[in-house]
Amino acid sequence: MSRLPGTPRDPTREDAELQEEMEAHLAHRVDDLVAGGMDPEVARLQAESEFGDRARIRREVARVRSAGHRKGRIRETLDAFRQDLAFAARQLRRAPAFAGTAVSTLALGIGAAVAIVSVVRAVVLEPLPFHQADRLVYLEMVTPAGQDFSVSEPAFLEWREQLERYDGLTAFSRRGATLRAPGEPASVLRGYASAGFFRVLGMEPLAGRGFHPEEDLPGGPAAVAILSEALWETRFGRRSEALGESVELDGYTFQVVGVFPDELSVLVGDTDLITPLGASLEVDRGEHYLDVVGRMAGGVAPELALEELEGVAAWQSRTYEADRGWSARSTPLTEVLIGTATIRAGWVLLAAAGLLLLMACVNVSNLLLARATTRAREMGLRAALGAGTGRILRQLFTEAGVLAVAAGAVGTALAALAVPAIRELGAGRIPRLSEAAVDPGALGAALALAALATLLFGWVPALVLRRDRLVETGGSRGGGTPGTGLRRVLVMAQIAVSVVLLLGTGLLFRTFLHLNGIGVGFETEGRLAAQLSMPDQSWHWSERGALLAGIEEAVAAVPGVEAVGATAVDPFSGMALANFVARNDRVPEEAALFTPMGWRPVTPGFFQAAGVEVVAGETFRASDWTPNDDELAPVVIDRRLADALFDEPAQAVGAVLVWGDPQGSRLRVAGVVETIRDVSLAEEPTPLMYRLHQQIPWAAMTLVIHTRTASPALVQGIREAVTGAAPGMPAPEVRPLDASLERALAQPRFNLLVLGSFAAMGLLLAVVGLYGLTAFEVRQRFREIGIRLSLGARPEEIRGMILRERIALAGVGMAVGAALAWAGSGLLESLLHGVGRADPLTWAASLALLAVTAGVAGWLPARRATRVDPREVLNAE
Amino acid sequence: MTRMDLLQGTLDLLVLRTLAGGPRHGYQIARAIKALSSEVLQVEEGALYPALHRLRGKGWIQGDWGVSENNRRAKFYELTPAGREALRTESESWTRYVQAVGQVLEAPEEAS
Repeated sequence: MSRLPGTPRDPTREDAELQEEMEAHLAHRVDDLVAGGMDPEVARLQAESEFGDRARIRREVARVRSAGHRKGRIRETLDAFRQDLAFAARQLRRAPAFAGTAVSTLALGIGAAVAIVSVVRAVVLEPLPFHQADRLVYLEMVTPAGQDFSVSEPAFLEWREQLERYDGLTAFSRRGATLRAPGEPASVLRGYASAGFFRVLGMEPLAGRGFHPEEDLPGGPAAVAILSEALWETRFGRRSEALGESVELDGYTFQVVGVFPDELSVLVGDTDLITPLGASLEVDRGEHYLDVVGRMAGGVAPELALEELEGVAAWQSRTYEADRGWSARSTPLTEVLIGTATIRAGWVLLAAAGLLLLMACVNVSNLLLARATTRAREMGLRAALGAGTGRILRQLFTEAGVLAVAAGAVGTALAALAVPAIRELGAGRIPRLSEAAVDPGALGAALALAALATLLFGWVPALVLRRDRLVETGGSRGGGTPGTGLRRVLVMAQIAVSVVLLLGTGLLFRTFLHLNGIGVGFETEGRLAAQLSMPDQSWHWSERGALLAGIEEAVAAVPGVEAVGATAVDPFSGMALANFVARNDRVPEEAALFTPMGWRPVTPGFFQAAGVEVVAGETFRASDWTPNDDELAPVVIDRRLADALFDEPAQAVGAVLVWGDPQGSRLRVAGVVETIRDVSLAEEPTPLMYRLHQQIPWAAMTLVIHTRTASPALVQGIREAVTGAAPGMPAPEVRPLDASLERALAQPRFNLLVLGSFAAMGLLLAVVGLYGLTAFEVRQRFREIGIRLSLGARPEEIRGMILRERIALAGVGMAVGAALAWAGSGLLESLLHGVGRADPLTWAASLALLAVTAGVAGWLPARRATRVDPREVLNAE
Repeated sequence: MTRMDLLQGTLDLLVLRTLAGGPRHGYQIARAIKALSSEVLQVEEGALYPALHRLRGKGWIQGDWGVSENNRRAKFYELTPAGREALRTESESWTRYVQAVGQVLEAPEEAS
C-alpha cells in the first residue's frame, strides 16, 4: 500500500495528523518514564515540558508547510505527474487484457476515422484547383423532355454575349486525334477551348499563355496549341524552348504557346493538348457537344445568375426552331466534376467512420467503467489512507491519457497503412483519389477527439466511484454493482450503431450484387475493344465507311478472330449520343413532343461480334445501303424503343420512323434487338436506335472483336491488321471488355468494401462490448449464482436467466439501431441500385446476424457461470 | 559536560543521519539524536516536527502510519532515494565546514 501515490495535502487533515503524531510522541515518552518507575501523571508533565509548546510547534509546522508549498509547487506537480504516470503504466501492465483491448479498440477507431477523413478530404472536400472555385458553375441545355444536354456553339456564343451576371464563360470539347510529330505517331485526345479558358477558370498556365481572343475566331481559329504537362514531358522533355516549337496534329502544324498543369485533368480528363475552339454562329443549332463553364460575377447570388441564364434560354427557345422547348440549367462545377454520387458516398463514409470512432470510445469507456468497479475497493482504501479525491481523479485521468496516447500511436500507424490500400482499391474510377495522403489535420483532430473521449469517459468512473466510495469500501457483494446501469446503456448504444453500419453495408452489398449480376445485354467475355480514330484531315468522311470496312476485313482475317464489328460508343466509357424520334404515322406537330432516345452508328458486324440478341426482324446486312439509293435508310432499334413506340416488337419491323424533328429524314426499321447497357451499369438505359456507320460515318469508332483466345500475339496481329489496312493510322490500344466492365464496378465495390470493413469492425466492437459486460456481470454475481446453485437451481435456469437479460439488452439496442438506420438510410438512397432502402431481406439478414452474434456473446459467459462450484465461491468470500 | 544548543539547520542533517538506519517514528528519532550525541546535543523535542515537515516538503523523507513497538499508532519516517543522496552531500559539506572552522580556530595567534 505504501506504493500508492496520494500523500495528503489537505491543511486541516494535516494539522489533525500532526496533533496525533505529537500525542503519540508524548505517549511513548510517558511509557518510557513509567517503565522507569515514574508516576504516570508526573511522567506526563515531564514529557510535555521536554517536548515544548505544542501550539507554537503547530504554527511553525504550518509555516514550513505553506512556504514549502509555494516554493515546490511546480516541482511537486511534476513529481506527482511522474508518479501518476509510472503508476498508470504499472497498473496497465498488470492488466494486459484490459490494456490491450482498450488500446486496440481505440486504435481501430482512430485509424479508420483518420484514413477516411484523409481520403474524403482529398476527393470531396479539397477545393478544385481553381481560384474561388465556388463561383464556377457548369451550364447546360435541357431537352424538352427535361434531360441535361451539351450546348451548341451558337447557344454558347449568345450566352457569352448576353449574360451580364457572369464574369466570363468558356466552352470546351474533346475529340480523338492523331499526333504525328514530334516523336512516334499516336492517338491523342484533342481538346478545343474558347479564349479566356484559363482566366474564367481562375488558373495559371504552367508555362506560356492561354489563347488570345483573335486566335479564337469563328471559321479560322489560329494554329496554336497548349500542351498537357504529360505531353510536354514525354514529347519535349519539359524544355522551356518547347514554347514556339510546333506539333503536327491531324495533318496540320500547330505552334505551342503554353502548357497546362496536371491539376486541370479534373476538368479535361486525359486531354493531351488543347487548340482554339473557334465557335461559330453558323454551326447547326442541333449539334450539341460543348461543355460550358461560367464564373458568376462577384456578389451575384447563384439564383440571380441562374435566373438570367434561364431568361436567355427562354429567348432562344422562342427565337429558334431548333431550340424550341429547350431550356437551360446550371450546377456548381464541384458537383459536376466530383460527382454527386461520390460526394454522397464521401459523407456516408465520414458518418460511418464517425460512428466507429464513437463506438470505440464507448467501448473503452465501458472497459474503464468495468475496471473502475472492480477497483472500487482499491480506491476506497486509498481514499481512507488520505488520498484526496483530486488525486484519485488525476490518477484515473492519467491512466486514460496513457491509453489514449498509446491508441493514438497505433491508430496513426493503421491509418498510414490504410490510406495507400484505399488508394489502390479505388484507383482509376474515383477522381482525385490518387492525391489522398494521411491528413495531418485529420490526425490531430482524431487524436484530440480520442484523448477527449477517453478523458471524459475516464471521468465517468471517477464520478461513479465518488458516489459509491462510502458504501462500497471494503467491497460489498450486493447485486447492483456501481456503473452497471451506465454500462448497459453504452452496450445498447453499441448494438444500435452496429445495426446502422450492418444495414448500410447490407444495402450496398445488395446494390453491388445487383450491378454485378446485371445482364449488360451483350457479351464481354472473350471480347476485345480497340478505339480507332479517323480524323477529317486524314480521311474525308465519304471515305470512312470503306476505310472501316477494310479494317474490319483485315482484323477478321487475323487467326483467332471469330467476328468483328464497330460501334461509336466505347462500352462503359460513359460516352453517349442522343436524339429524338417519332413514328411516321403519328408525327407530333412539335419537335418537343418527340421521344428522346440514345443512338449510335454501328457497322453490320457489331451485333454478332458483341453477341446482341435479335428479338424480331433482322440486323443490318453489309449491302444494306449505298449512296443514291431511293430506299429509306434501314435502322435497328432496341426493345425499349420498340416498347415506347409500338405495342409489341414484331409490329416495329418494317415501320417508318422520323429522325429528330417533323422535317427529319425517314427511316425504316429492319429489326429489333435486346436492350444493352453499354453506357453505365447503374443507370437505366434510354431507348436506343442503331444506324449504319456507312450512312453516318462517325470518326471515332471502337472495334469490338470476338476472339477465341487473347494472346499477346493475337493482340499484336490485330494492331498490325489495323495499321496495314489504314496506313498512317496509329496502332490502337487493344483491351478486353471484361476489364472495362470491372472498372465500371469500381465505385460500388469501393463503397461496399470500405463500409463493409467498417461494419465488420463495428460488429466486432459491439460483440466485445456485450461479451465483456456479460462476463463482468457474471463474475460480479458468482456468489449469487453459487447460492442459487447450492439451493438447487438447475444450471439451465441460471443460463436462461442471464441469457434473457442479454436478449432484452440486445433487443432494445437493435430497436433503437433500426430506427436510426431507417432515418439515416435516406443518405444512402442515391447510392443504391436495384434495391430499396426498405429491402426486407437486407433488414432481416442484418438484424438476424446481429441477434445471433449477440446471443453467442451472451451465452459463452453464461455457460461459464453455471460451471461454478458453489463451495469454492462461498469459501472465497 | 555542558550541553550545547543545536545550530540552526543542522537538525535536518541529524534527522537524515538518524533515518539512514531505517524507518523511525518521531519519538525514536528524538531519542536516537540524543543517544548518538551522547546526550550532548539538546533538542527541544517539539522542534523535530517542523524539521520533519521541511524534509518531507523537499521530498527527502516520506512518512506512513504504522504501529510502534509499544503497540501504539505512530507515523514512521524513512529516507527517499533523494534523501539518501542529500544525506551524503550535506554530510560532506558539513565536514568541510567543520574543518574550515577548525583550521581557523587552531591557527597560531598573530598580532593584528
